[in-house]
Amino acid sequence: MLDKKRIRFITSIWIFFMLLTLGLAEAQEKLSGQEIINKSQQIFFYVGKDMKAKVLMKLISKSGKERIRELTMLRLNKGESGEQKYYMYFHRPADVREMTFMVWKYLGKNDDRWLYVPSIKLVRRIAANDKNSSFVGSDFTYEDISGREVVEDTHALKGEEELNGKSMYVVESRPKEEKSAFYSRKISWIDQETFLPLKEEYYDKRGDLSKIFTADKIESVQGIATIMQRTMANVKNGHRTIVTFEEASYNIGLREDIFSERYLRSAPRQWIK
Amino acid sequence: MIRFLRTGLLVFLFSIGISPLIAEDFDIHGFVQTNFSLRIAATGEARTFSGKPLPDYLLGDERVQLEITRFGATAQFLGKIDLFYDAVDKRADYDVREAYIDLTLGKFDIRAGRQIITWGVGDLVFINDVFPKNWVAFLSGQPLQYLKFGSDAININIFPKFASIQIIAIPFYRADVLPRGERLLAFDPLPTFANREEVQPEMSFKNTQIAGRLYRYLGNFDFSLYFYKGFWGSPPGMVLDSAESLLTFSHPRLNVYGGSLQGAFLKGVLSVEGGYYDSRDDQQGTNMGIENSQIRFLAGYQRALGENLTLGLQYYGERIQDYTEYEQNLPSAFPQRKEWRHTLSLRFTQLLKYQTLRFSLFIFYSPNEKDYYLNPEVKYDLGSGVWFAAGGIFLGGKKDHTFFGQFEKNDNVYFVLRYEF
Repeated sequence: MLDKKRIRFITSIWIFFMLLTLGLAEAQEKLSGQEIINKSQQIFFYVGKDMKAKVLMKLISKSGKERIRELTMLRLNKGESGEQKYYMYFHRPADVREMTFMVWKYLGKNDDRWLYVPSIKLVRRIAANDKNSSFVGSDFTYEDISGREVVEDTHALKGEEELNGKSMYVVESRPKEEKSAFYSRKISWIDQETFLPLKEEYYDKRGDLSKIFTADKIESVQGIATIMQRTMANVKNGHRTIVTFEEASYNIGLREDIFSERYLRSAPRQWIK
Repeated sequence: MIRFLRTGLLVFLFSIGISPLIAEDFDIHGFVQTNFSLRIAATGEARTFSGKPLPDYLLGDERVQLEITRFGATAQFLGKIDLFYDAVDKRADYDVREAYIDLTLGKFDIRAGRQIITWGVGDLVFINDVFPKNWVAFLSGQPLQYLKFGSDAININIFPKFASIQIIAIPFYRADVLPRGERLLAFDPLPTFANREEVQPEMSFKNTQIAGRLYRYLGNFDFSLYFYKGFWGSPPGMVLDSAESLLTFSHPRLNVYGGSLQGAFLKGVLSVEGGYYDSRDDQQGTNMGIENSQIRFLAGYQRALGENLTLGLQYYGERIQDYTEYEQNLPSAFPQRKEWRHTLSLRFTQLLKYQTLRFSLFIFYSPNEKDYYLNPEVKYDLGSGVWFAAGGIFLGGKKDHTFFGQFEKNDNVYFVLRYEF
């Protein structure tokens, strides 16, 4: 009687652990769309404590006419809060040279943005409620640069596919509030190994494909897989923007006080050459 | 003497700045620009102050700007000089726009030399920014950067934990450039005073202008307190000598105390600024030749309305402090101002074609003085460093002596073409 009871007890514990392990294995194999996007966003926009990149943007019209923007970008994470600070200093072209742009990014409310205009030594705040406006005349929006909040969309795993010989998660994201995005849905191909998005398709409000993002070149920087070249192409008008990181480095020890009016007016030469 | 000292200082700063350049790398940038402006207002029988017909062109300006910079870890030099030909006055000249050295020393920064200083949160309204301005350039269609010009100053910035502090000493006075009835026609209450001159504050230790700002973040707002001890720039003071028919423009003593806040509010940016103009040489407000003490205040709001489209609204108010004294002492030849001047402004900016095309509109309108300033502009970026802008400046009002109304004969259309390198 006692033995029977003990056997039943042991069996039930054994079954419990079996189920638990199975469940865990199942969970590990099948990440949800939400979990994939969470992880991808962390790796794409938050990797490292800080980051510095020298960025070359080529803005190319349908006819092939090219304009450029060259800037140094500094980025600092504020711990695990999800808040970040960005500092962007423009080197070229001549009419925006030395112009500096600073963003304090928050979750759940509008960012703070400042602009420094060197010709009249003016620092002023600029409205930050236009996340879908073009960033410096490119095909990227402000939101593409610092990341859209994950919670603003619902994310559903649509399947797995091969892309350029790599295994991808295919995730569909739809804005919870229609007005909050320029797209009605976005399909992302996310590398199962690095969790970087290798391709994204944006569909407009009518359901037509409008923009395509591709990660064209990925390199390991200090052991961190980094997209060194990316393209955003407007399928509708043939305009596209190619962004190349000419240099990139992580964990360089940026101090928070760099992201202040002092350095807006006078660029930190240690970081910006 | 002042001129000599100033030139000496500039040469000194240039030589300090340039000596290391000879050995090391430096950057050269600049632009070539043509800028003209055609008067379109009917001028009738109006004449310039010196009796000539009003010129058709307010501007016929060709210029080259050269900028030399050298960056070091702790020191930086910047020199910016304009060489220009003015086709209206038929003269060629140069203008040292900026020439300064920067020292970045960890806990503090110093900038010494000729420098443009801008602070405050107004949009084309300046309360605590009392630094030199060229209103003739602004009203005749020169690019916005020419509204401001440099102060010859030492600018010290210190950064203690609780706030940042900026202290500026300006030993050399540079007066605002104001319309005086030559190219730009302005209201003149004393046409019989045929002789005019301007007297600048003497250069002395006592007359050194001091400006200060203490600023920090207050929650999500940028908060600043300002102080200025110096002289009235615009409007200047007036000293009358009837026997000689001489009107002398002077610069009476002025202190300004003020503050500002700017930050995110209801999806946009809210700006608030105020200042008290303490007219030191006319504390009672009884001297008609010296501006009364004033309270000045602004509140502005800016937000994006859609993609690449922004709207800014602003209110500006200015109150004469000792209004009874002002009324009692006003000579009969002078039109009486109102105790308050209220001004509303609107700025609308639309960027199109990947921000290569910009439409903008700026309006000032005073509901109680019934006058306006209107500036529509289109700017197009042709690529490879070339852009042009075309616009119009329209001024007017019910009366010919109000702030904007007095300029009604200066309506103009302007054009700027620039190649930057």
